[in-house]
Amino acid sequence: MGSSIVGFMVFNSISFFAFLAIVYALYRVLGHRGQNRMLLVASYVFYGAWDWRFLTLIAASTVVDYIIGRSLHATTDPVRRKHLLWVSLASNLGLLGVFKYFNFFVGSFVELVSQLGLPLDWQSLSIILPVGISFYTFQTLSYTIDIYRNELEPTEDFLDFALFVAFFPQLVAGPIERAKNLLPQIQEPRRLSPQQGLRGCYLILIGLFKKVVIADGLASTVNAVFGESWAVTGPEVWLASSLFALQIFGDFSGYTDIARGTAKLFGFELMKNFKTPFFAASPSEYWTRWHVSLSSWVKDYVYFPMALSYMRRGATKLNEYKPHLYAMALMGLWHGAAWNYVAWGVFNGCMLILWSAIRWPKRIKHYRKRIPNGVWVAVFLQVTIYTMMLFRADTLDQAVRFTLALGSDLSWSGNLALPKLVTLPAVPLLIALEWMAFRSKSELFYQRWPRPMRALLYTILLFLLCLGSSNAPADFIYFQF
Amino acid sequence: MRQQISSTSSSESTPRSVAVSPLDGLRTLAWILAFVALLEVGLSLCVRISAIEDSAIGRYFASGESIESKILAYATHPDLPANSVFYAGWLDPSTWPPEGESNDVAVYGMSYAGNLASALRRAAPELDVRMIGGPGAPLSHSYAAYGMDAGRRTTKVVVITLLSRGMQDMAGLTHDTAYNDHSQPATWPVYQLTDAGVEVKAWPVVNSASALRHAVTEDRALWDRHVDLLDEADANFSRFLYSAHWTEQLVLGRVLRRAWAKAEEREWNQSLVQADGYFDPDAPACKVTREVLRAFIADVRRNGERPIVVLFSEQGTGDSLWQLVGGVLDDTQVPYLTTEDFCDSKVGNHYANLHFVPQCDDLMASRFLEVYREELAKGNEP
Repeated sequence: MGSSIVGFMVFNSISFFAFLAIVYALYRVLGHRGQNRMLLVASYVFYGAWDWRFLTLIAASTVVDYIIGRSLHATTDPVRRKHLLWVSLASNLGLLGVFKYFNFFVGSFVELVSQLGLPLDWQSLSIILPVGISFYTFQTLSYTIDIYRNELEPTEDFLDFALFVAFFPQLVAGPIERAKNLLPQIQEPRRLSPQQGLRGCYLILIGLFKKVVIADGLASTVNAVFGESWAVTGPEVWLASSLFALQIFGDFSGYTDIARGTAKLFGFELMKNFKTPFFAASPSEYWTRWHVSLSSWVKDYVYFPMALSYMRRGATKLNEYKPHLYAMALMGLWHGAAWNYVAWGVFNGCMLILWSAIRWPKRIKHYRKRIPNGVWVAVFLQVTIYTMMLFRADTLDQAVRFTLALGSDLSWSGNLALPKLVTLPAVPLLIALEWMAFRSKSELFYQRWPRPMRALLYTILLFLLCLGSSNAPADFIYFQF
Repeated sequence: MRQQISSTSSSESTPRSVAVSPLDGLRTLAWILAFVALLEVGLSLCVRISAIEDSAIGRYFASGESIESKILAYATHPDLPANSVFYAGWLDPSTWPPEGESNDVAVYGMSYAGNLASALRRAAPELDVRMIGGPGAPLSHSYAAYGMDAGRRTTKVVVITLLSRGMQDMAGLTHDTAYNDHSQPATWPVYQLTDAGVEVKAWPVVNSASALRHAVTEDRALWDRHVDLLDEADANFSRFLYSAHWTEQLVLGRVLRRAWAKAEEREWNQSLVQADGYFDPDAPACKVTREVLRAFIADVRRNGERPIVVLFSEQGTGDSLWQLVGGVLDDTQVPYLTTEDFCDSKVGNHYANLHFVPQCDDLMASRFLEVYREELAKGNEP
């Protein structure tokens, strides 16, 4: 899955923490404006460490959206405002189109035409996907759309805006921040409290634990199944998909935790991206818990406008369901230029539709309420695991074969290797922590514990992290998006 | 400004009861240190319980020990079995098959080659098969062994074997500098490129299990010379990981040492491969491998023997080995087998210890016999 990104600025590297220490030391001695300028330079150094050529893209995106934001605010002419919005959409989505989707769409077209008996000679272009482009493109898009909707005033300070786009903790894999949340924090002087610092350190620790111990420890087991080194059976597909669910949660929520923790050290509050997603009891609840910054983006900027538009055409069931399907297909495509991502999005859209459909009749609603929530969680977890298989499949063909294996081949080949030794006790610990966060409806549950209990938790996490640091580090999965 | 419809929630509120001061942070740190100390004491007591010490968990916590300590443990073991890895793979003719043999096939290599030799004996009991090798032996080991063994026996065919994960060891004098989890202390020379081909860059000062035991237990000067040579000529060497160090006295120290060793192993492996997963043909160890192979084939032919090359593709390595040395095989017109052609590097063909399953070894033997018979049918010209 994905090509290897050899970057020395990954969050689980010693070089990143050396970089962070230098930036933090400088931050503490500078005033507010100096802090912002220094963070901007640090963010460009951070991003340029992957490939300095990517800097031109992010700089271009920043300049375009800054100018459009100012121009939108300066005019009340609706036609001109619409044109300006289109320029922003075209430039941002154009960047994504060229770098992320060009080969996919042209390749799919060529294949379609070839199947119709008109073979076309076309060589795919060698285009490197700039890391984080899907994240910062959506971030800058939300800025211009919010100004267009008169929900936000543009910033006058270009450098502040540039920092909003490039802020290094969340630049390459989110959370996709909104200007409404992040820009005011950039513009106002920030106060660092010891509480915030400690919480930041804890988030970095738990993030590293999730990434290094859980995600990296499970990677080889999952990769062996999806690499299909042998004829994989149904139970193996289910187990590997379950482990992948844990792996990607560890990987992505771990990244987000480190991003949030790092930001806290500088006095910034980034949005929560994961809210105990595996305890969701329905598809609609799941999407308020998993990759919240993306799902809420799609909801605010794609689903709501689309739903409004369809409802204006007529309040039919079809018009109610279509936006679910289109928004989720778009969400799938956001993840990558491959048909299995589209299938994953469409499947999730169908789940949302199905759920709103079966909830509708009163009699079913009555029975549903009598079933304990835990049962719904367990049932919906199976759906989530299946969608994880669709998401992880290397090709659509593999997704179809694995789906068939789930329903037909119930044998056990015995080829599945165990995850890393340290990962075995770490997985129940992670599940227990998630359960406690779910039960207490707060990820700060541990702060109410007596000090020795908290210290014991930190020690266990540190110890497992020491053990897990022998695991071969894999790239953060979401870097490829 | 219009009321926004947004599902984002950005900040988290901290429970009122847990306002924190810098002193609170220090108190928590003190508790953490106390727990770490408790953990260290508890674990060090646990791993001394013999039932745990000999288990996988015990070995896991011991794997961060230095190579010197591991060798010392072998050397001072009161009842070390004769088949211990401590005795395996030395370039010590006194431990090899007897001098003066007349063989059909002489195999040089590692455990995979040993399995091939066993499969050949099963498939063709009439063949007299001689096997000289060691665990994970790289081509440099085989080349040196052949050089020492060639005058001690006669054979029709010489089997030169290469392992796809053996490239790291080409830059070293022992497996112990490339891998830290367990000690496999046998040594071999390291080669370097010259205008004429290859030459020995350094020959180990310790060449037998008995010499190593003597060095590590009695002759400190010999041990120091051994370590100094590793430092000078072994590209994989790290004194921190190889020599005894106070950090290994702590369980947590060993855990961190192991992580350090793994990081070094990965860094070394990555220096040999390109982004596409294939070997980097310009990496020094890869260049030396190709030239040692070329020299090996030439030496065998010069001695009037027939070389056959066998490439073992370990699990998950695909045809990367063939991609690296295929050019040499074509240039020299040497007959060869590559396991990727009939038992590919996918999981089902391997045990968990990465060795091939017996069916693959048997298939390998039958393929080898075809090539062997073709070679002999060509007549006297090697």
